[in-house]
Amino acid sequence: MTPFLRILMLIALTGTMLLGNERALISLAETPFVDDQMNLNVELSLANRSLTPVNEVRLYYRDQGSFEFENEILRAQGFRYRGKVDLSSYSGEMVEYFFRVEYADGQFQAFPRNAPEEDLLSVVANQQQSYGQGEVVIISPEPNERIVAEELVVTVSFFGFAERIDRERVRLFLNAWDVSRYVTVYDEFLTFNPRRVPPGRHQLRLELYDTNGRQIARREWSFFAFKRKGPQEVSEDFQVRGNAFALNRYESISNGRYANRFTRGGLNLTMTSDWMAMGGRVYLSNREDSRFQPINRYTGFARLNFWGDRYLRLTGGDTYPQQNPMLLRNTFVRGFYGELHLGGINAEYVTGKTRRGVEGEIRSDTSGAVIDTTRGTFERQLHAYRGSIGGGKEFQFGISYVKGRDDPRSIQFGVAPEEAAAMGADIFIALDKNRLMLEGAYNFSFYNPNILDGESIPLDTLNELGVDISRQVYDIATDMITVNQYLIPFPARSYFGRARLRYLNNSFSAEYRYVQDEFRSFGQPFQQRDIEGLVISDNIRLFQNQVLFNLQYRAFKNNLANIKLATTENRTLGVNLSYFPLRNLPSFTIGYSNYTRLNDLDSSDLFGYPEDNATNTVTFTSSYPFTLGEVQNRMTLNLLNYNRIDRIDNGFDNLSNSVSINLQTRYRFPLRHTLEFSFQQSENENATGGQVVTGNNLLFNAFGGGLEYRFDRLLNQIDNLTMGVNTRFGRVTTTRITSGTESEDKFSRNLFGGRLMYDNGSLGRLSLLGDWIVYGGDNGYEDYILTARYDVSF
Amino acid sequence: MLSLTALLWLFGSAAQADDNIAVVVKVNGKVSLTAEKSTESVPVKKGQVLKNRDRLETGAEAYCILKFLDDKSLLRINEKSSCIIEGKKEADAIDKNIFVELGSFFASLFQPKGKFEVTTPTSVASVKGTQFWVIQLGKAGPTRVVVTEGIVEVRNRAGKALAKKGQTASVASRTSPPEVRLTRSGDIPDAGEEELESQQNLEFEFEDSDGRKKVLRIKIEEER
Repeated sequence: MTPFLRILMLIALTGTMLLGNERALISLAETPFVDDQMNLNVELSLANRSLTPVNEVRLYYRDQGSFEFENEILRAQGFRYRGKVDLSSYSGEMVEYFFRVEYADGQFQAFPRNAPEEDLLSVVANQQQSYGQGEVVIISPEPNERIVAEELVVTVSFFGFAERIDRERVRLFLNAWDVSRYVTVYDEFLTFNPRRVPPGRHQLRLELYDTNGRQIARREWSFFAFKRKGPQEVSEDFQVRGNAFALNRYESISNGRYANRFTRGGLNLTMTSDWMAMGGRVYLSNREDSRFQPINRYTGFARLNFWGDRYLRLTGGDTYPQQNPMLLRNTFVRGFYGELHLGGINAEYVTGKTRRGVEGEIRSDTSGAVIDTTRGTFERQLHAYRGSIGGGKEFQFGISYVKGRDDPRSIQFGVAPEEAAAMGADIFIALDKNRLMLEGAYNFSFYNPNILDGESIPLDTLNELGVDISRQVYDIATDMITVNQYLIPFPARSYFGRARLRYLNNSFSAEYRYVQDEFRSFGQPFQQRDIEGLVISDNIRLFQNQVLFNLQYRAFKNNLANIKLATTENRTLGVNLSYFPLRNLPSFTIGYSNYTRLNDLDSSDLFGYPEDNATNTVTFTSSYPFTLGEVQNRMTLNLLNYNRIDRIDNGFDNLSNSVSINLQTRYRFPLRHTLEFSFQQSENENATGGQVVTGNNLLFNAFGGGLEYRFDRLLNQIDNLTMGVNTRFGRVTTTRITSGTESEDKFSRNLFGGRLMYDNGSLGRLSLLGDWIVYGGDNGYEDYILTARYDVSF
Repeated sequence: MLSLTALLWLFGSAAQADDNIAVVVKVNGKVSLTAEKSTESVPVKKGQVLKNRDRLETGAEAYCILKFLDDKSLLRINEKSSCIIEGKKEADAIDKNIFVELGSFFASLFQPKGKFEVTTPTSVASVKGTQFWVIQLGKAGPTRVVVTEGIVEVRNRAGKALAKKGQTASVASRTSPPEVRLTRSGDIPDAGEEELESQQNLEFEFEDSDGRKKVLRIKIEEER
């Protein structure tokens, strides 16, 4: 069975252009797609209208049946941010994602606008398309085989689907070199028989394509070549791998009114052998500023491998521990992280800072007297311990303790240093060859939202302040946390349980989650609190995985302690049907979702936020790869209808329709081009008594294209130069209604971009990019960005 | 006529394509190949593709290792040996039969797809997922099957016997039934200067949620 990847997506284009006062105009620069290697490729266009530079843009993604997001930093290229994430572990499932822009002052902006609570983009990560009963068999050299340098014979057979393979498109890479032209391809196998290879470890990558140019198999493996005899034999004590980059980027915004220069550099280095590994990562930026949270990153690690998969790993610097998902995940800890993994018994320890202390701003009058201060950020220390039993592949039970505390003396002007001590147990069980997986965690925490000077106050004083706790409780509590009048005097709980079943072509997942509002773990900064509910999803594969049927149900409510004015319930019901034909026909996905939010307040409530709205989204996506002569094309069509109806009298209704068409063309010679067209109409209206009071309507249409050509073998046999240009012409018409009066704003937004990229294999790759945006009409100004970047891998 | 010619050509191509059954991954010394219905021998080179009913012969201090294309079953042909390798395509597998004429042979099978048999002048060794030696002493002499892993069935007209790891089946002649005894030191031929590829491997088989099997192989090598 050969995995084969096909894309399909549901793009909720709502918010493709942002309205209102967001700092940046964000749009999808290209239709996201999942490639043959099952990587989600995204490209975001970001025009920053604020004075605050963008630190980074991250893509957050998760499978639809879970809560936790993973994330990946996107790479800046002019006004665009590109990224690629591996979705192979989500095969056959629907993956949800959104983008988050982090500014230098620590503020964030999400895309789509209401993500992740209300609005997420999604994609079907499909593969496993059946190509009969065939498989790719690596005959020689086998993975990690040691051979004599003169005796390499690469042989791979592909019985069963040989008829589908385009022999002309077979690609074999020995390390970075494309050796395809030296490969002899037979009907059901291929051989590559060089005279010799240099001693050392080598990587092989084989790619097989069908007659439509779709990749149907890919294999990567390595082997070790040594000299035949004597002392010349090369030691494989350490294999060194790494990559480095240097970047310089200059931004000129609003006719040069704002200018930013970014200089960044990074190095990743790993040295591995059979018994140990060590390495490090350094990332440096000229935007590092002690007034903000760290941007520079430094990490070093050493790993000692024991027998089996047992190991000891020590990490210093910026560590990223991933433990109990409700206690310690998704945060950098600058300090030390140690892991001892013995399979049966494991131990982990983390200590360090999760936040840098940043002094508040002092404002003085003309006489120098302090008249005001802004809130500073306390330095936050974190210590975590975890002990577990089980290797983690089939079973693991762990107990964790995470203590986080702000240092009240780290800054002079700050408000309310906090402290939290959280502990919990987590379990993971995988049965029946991972077809049945159960996981869960139960945690509780003590939280003090203001530890003042960091000292506990005497019990007598506490009693005088009206806090009634016993001596026994006081003694226990003071061992864990600072006890004063602000301590929340009861432990808060959080727990979740999740079951995943993969039977009968179903991938079923059900999760229940409960997090009290007072629950805190400083090792998990993205925990959604005051929430109780469940997520159920089922991905059903039919007809040799040609048809995917996805169902999703989410239901949550807040106000668990019943102390808020109202309880808000939100529900999502979604259904998607996807078709990925085995033959070269268009694939498509049709999707529908209904999202509702409801509480029992109405518009007459002065202190609450009444909610009673429903959002219906209908999407259609189709993708068609086709070949005309020797020209490969892929056409993608996206349609979206988004309709939010607010039943609250002064609520906002939103109606959006969008269409986008994209055509990518690739020739036999190294030329490729794209053509794209998109249209979006969006209406936001705030009505009272049936009369539109405020609103804004948007009409946005754009068309564009790109052209790219690669020149091969300029200075040697492996180098190449890629030249590319792209352009996009857009027109935006915004109609604003304020107190019943309409005003219209029209402008054009035309983008011109060019890039040169010289790649010389192991010597590295130099890229020069220029992006220029011209705003016309009512808002006439220009922005441009110039970028130079050098990358090298070794 | 043209259509018929084209049809024949196509048929011939297909038949020819099916003939490829193995590839030579290692050659040392003088090893020659004689194709079926040919009397001319050519030297064997690494990477050489072997067809159905090719005859291989090794000289003194020579050996070669070949692998079958369906399941990478390995056959090592030691010095002063000769055999005909036969492979018949059955769906995605190749039914293999090694017609031993003379000499010693080592076979290593892992997750075999088709049949794997070794036919000697005295008997037939039928195997599945195992490692074993076949030693043919003289063109009409006795056969010895030394099992180093798994189980081998040895049979001839006179009877059959199962030999397990650590056992050796001996067949004196075509009319003598196979006899099984414990393997003695000296039963296993000298493998020459190179280590046998699979003799010192540890193999662990894993199966993922979709039923795909993966194998972790750990190679144990002594320091020289």
